[in-house]
Amino acid sequence: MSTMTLSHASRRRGRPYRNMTLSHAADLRTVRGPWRITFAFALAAVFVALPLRISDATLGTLVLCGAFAIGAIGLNLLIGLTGQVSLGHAAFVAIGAYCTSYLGDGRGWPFLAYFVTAIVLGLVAGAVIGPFALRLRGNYLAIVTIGLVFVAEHVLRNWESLTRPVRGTAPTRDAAVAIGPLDFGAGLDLGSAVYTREQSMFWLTWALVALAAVVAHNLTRSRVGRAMQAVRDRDLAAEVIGVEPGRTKIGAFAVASAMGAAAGVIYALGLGAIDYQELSGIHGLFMSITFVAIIILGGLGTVQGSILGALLVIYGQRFIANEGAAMPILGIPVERDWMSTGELNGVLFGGLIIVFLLLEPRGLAALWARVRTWFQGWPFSY
Amino acid sequence: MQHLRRSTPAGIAITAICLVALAACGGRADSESGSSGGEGSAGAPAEAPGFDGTTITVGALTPTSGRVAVIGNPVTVGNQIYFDMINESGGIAGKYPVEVLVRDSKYESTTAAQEYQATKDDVSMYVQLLGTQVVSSLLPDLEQDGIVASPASLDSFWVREQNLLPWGGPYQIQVVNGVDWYLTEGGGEGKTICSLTQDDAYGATGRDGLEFVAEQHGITLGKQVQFTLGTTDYTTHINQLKGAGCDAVLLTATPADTAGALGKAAQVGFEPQWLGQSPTWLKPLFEGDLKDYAEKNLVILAEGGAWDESASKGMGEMIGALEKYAPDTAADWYLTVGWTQARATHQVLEAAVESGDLSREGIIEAMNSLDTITADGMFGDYGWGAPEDREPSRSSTIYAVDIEGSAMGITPKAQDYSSDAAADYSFDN
Amino acid sequence: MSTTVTVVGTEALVETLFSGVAVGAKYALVALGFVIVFKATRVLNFAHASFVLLGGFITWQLAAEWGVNFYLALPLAMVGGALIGAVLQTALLQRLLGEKPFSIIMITIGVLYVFDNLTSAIWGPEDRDLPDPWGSRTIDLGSVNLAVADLWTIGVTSAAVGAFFLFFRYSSLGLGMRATADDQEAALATGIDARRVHLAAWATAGALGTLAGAMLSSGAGSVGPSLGAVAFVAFPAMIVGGLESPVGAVVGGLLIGLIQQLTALLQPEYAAWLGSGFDRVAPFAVMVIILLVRPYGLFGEPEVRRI
Repeated sequence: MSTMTLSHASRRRGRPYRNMTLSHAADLRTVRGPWRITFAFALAAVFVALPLRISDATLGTLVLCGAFAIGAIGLNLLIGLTGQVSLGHAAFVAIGAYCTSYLGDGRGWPFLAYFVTAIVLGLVAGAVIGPFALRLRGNYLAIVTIGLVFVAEHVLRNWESLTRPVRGTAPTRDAAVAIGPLDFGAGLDLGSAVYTREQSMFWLTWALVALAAVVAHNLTRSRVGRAMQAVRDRDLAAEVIGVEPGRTKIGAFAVASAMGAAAGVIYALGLGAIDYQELSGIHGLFMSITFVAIIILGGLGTVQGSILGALLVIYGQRFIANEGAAMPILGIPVERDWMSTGELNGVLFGGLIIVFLLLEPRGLAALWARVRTWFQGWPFSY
Repeated sequence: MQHLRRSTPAGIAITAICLVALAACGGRADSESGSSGGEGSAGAPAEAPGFDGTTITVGALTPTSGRVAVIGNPVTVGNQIYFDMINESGGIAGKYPVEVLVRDSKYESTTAAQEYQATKDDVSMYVQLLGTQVVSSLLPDLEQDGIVASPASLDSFWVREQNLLPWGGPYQIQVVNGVDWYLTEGGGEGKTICSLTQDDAYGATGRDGLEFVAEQHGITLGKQVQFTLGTTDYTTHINQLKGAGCDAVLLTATPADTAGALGKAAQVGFEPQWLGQSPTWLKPLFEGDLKDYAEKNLVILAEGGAWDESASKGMGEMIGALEKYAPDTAADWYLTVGWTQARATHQVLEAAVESGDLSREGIIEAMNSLDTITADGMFGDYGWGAPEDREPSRSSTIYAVDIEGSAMGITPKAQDYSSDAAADYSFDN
Repeated sequence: MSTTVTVVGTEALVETLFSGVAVGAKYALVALGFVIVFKATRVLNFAHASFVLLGGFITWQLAAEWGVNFYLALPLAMVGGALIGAVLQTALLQRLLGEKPFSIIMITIGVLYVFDNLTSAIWGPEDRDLPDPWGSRTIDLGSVNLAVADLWTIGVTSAAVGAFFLFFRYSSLGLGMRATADDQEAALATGIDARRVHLAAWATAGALGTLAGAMLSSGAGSVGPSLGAVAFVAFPAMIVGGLESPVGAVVGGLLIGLIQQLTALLQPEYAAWLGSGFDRVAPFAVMVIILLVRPYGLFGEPEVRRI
């Protein structure tokens, strides 16, 4: 412990004030302070206990939320941290999804094999697309990445053995999801307790989300992360001080694509069968836009923002679809008569983006930060 | 470190409290298809998923928004007016009214999969699943959960599936019959037949049927052109067909693309005999400048009769129900589709009620025990039984375009046409 | 199954070239609206696709449902489109003048979702015919048929481009737009109100989008939810020409249209290994190639940034 003198109040309390760090080692810790540690434990408890409490259908939706969260964490590294706009993320998700169906379901590869292959292919794809960012900036880069999803659609449509092997779809039901003795795909069987596929997939997915979050968080705090932020803020100045913007940008694309591919694997497993028209082309563009909306609503550049945004957007859409059919919202009947749930979902999605950007452009994470700061500063919260 | 030591016990305490709270919150709301099956009291069926003792619930996963809603909405209305009609006399077996639970699938497998998971425990079976890729991707789930569904698309794949309740002759049969008609009665002897098909699974149904009938008749086909859904300009496609000297063109498309292609053909003066599969037709698109061209050159390959109360028992009932329960809905061929699905579902549920078992297994057993699924004359009867024995209707109707003369814009030119080639088509895949 | 070999005749080639120009004119019209907004406000307006969509439906509503003569319905619809653009600008975009460009793009995407779904809710998802006076009429030059609707589209686009050229050159508002686009602060210093300029730009974009929507649905086309999708193909047209140049938008549109149609005609014969439907991807492929050579488009100017 350092020899820093504590204040009178701190000495009386016997410990330093709140989250004060007294050494560099303490500063580097991921989870700092008593509140955060407690929160971490509580999250772990929820993670373990939640699948035992809620229905399989909701768990299925939460698995999809997890897939989108992983993809959003990757995209946040690219857009939020490195400042490179990409609207082609769906193409990388497609890479992961088709690895699952072709290698996992079609060829019977084990989970780790096709999962790692997906990540590697994602890395390679990102490294190939990355050089475009060196030549183009801002709006031009955004539009070229739109081209990515349309090129992907063309390739997937013509590659019939990959995208339509079974009656017009690519199934993933038979893909093995087993790590060692733990078979998540068929439902965990721990002797005394047997769990369903949805419960097991929930645990696997959110463990992967936690892993992705830790990777991203550590990346942000490392030298590479600082280089990315330098490139985002002033790339010419960054070059002057020794950061290589080219390598940083390409690296960012590669990491984002790898995470997108990982998200694609979970997405494919969660759905049971994948359709290339939803992962590429105009619907692929909408999926990319959904990712971007997730990170903007959640908070650009933050890891917890990506996760919160994914929960808000994906679970929110499902919530409206379920509840909207049952109860008229604002007195407007939702099925068939005035507006269908699909259209209502679209209007609310767009409206939410607009409202958030008008009122809190920095997203849910900033909203939470405001609430937290208010409590921390209490009673001087102004 | 001091603060760590003090917070770890706090952390563990809070964890424990959370776990206790979650435990107190009650168990999982759902149960794994918690039906026990078997008999209830005095022959009345026991409660089962989708059946609470008084009402039977059936599901419909259909696009109510988006481009394909123009097909989905009439089918759903067809489902609903049928059940409205029988509910008036008490419902299934006169005792159990039927409720339709409609969910928007947006014609996407993702959304459909989620809606399926959300509704599967509340329905006894699905009266409508719309979309070839939606049905394909849900089929493994249907098998696993033992649920029966009626697909709204006409693919030959569905014939031999245990969990599917298809209706009507598949697209391939439509094409085989249609081309056969053209070659024998439609003046197509010795002429060149080409095709303009969508480049996906739906288009493949047309190409498969065409290949089969060409082989049967020993003719060589002309130019085969494919296009992508939503093409803006058909100049090059029409030019290719025109340049190849096509006398007839099989068209496997959806309404907007049909109007685009035919419009361009009208412009360049290309007038082959267009043979359009059933999904190509949408009356409002052909009421304007395309009317004359369509009436002269287009026939629709579908099934059924005219839009006339006297055409068949089913048609009479449907037109009556439409006037009574949905008077604002326009006449549409897809209403007959929805009606027939509901009729088939009625027969299955009636058999299940009779045997006193509305559980999942009971419904499948009841379905297998039926000899025929009838459509009361609207479509051909479907020879039923176990999947290996099923025999879809092998007749089709070739419709001519008649905007003023028929409420749905088409009127039968050759009704219930069944060719030898269609009789030879095999569904074992 | 055998296929007959088709030799690409001159007739087909001429018709393809003409249709390329016609399709290109449609893209150009859409791209023009984008570029006007970008030039004046530096905002990439994704909601332009919904202007096109709404424009088509408003025109249909006036001409088909309310029986207004088409030649009157179209200008009226354009006024309506301009109003929508103006309202959007005052209600939303004005508040975001200082925000990051990325946030503004996301707001336009939000508007896109809202408008697309509202349109579908109000008018329904079916496709419908637009009662335009040209229908399927064609002008026959020998064995080549040119659609009257296409000729009108080309004419309207040329008129619009000509009008804009004159507007930007000679009118004070046009001059104001160019000044604001170059340097907003300096323009303010000389008394040009940025708000008026932005309002005018968005209103013009709304009107142009409506015109594009009506022209896209005329002739063999139809009014339906798919109108918005065409706008995404106009992106390559914009980029190729340079995001800030109206001339570039038109040249880009024509180029992309011609390339698309020629590819559709020639690729299945000569380069079938590229797969079916390559003509849909060709615009994007061309865009990438051109951008690699000239990163700011054919007529664009390199951005000058402060370091």
